[in-house]
Amino acid sequence: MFKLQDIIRNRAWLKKQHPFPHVTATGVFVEEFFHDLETEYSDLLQSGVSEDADRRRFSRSISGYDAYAIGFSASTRGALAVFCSPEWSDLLAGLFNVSATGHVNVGAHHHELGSNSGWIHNDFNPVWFPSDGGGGTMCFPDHGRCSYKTGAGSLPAHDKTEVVRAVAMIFYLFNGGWKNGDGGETGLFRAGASIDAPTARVPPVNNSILAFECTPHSAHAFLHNPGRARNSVIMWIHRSMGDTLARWPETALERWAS
Amino acid sequence: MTRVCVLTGASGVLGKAFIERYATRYSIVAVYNRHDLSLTTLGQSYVDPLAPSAPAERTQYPIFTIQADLSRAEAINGLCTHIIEQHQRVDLLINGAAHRHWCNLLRPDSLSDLELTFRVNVMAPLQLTVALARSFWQFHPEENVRERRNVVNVSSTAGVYAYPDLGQTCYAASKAALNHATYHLASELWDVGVRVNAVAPNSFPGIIATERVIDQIVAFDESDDTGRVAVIDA
Repeated sequence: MFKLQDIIRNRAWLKKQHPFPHVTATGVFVEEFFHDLETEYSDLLQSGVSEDADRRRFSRSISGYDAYAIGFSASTRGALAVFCSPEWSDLLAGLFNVSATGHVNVGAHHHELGSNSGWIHNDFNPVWFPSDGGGGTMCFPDHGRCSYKTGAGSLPAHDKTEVVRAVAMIFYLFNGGWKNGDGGETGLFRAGASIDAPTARVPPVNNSILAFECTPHSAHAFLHNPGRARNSVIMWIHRSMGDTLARWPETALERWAS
Repeated sequence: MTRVCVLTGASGVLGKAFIERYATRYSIVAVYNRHDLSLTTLGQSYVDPLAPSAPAERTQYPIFTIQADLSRAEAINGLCTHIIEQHQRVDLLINGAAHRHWCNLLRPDSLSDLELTFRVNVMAPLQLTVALARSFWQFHPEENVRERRNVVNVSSTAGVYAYPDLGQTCYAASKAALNHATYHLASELWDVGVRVNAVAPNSFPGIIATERVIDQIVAFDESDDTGRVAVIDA
């Protein structure tokens, strides 16, 4: 497995306060490792995209979101497995001093050229994991037995756990040559702002990262990409419901529309 | 009172050098876009991802930072509104953001950045200047004169001279347009007491020192000049 100190090139990440606390960094990984990540990502895309949900390739599995998604798991191998590692989860937790549970949701999003902007949302969502959904110390979603969003599925209630998204991460790759005007940035918004008025636009520059703590204020959205396709690895780590409710009222949680 | 300086292109060579030299003299609103402003400021600090609990570095520069894509008109309007809301005044606007794409015209992609070049190098300085004039300066003409409020556009000798065979057509045309816009802005904003000048340096820090460009910007800020394009060459 990788030692993060060997593959992380940039040790000076920027923690910004506006419009809500978030961290960005460019030149995240050493060149050779980043090349491996792009090669593996490219291999995934080689399988094509599917308009129907398909776990083996990028597919339209997120209702109302103009992107193709694919999930990673404990069986993910190669450089991309770094995002499934406990070390990477700990790194994200440490950025925001979050007490993480070991439940992770990792995958990739591919937005075709000209994809529509997403909706503004905060990722402050309660989600479900199977209690035995493990890969070592990490626990991954198992949508077939326990819906990540609702917990629905074949598992009995005592075999699943409700937790809350704690930190979101977007790592940008396979976007070589991106320039202003190409779009596909991640917009960060102040409360009440419209999709056309992000306070900050995080560009999808290769080998760069955006991470933020999921709170009622972490309003963000994918922005229309008229110039080129946009690719990223996405990830959430989670905190316990108890920790969450000790800090925010239950009404602040963004429960999924049924 | 400390002068409020809005500086676009803050993460570039000129922007960072200006901040390092004048962060305590001006209240700087540093506007950046694609490249992070790699300084600790009032709104951002460094964190080591492998040692996140290590003590944060003390704020290096007491400046304000805003990210904005100046190639988008709506971003400029939002930026202007934010600046006036937060700072209530702008004494010096340095239009330093630039898009630099040199390409031989016969190459297939030679004009791929034409629109972006003009958006960033010509339209953005015009739009930001006009937005500040409409939302703030036009209501304070006497104060503008008293406070020596002014705009400095960062142009280039490429907008003054033709350097052959460097693929500068689009870039040079945009800088020439910026020079001419500077003359007209100076004329139009004279009535509200705001001066407009431009610096037109050769390449920095390669051919001339970045400090010379900054010296001229500050000289304009301290002067009564308006409608001048100051060429800075070797």
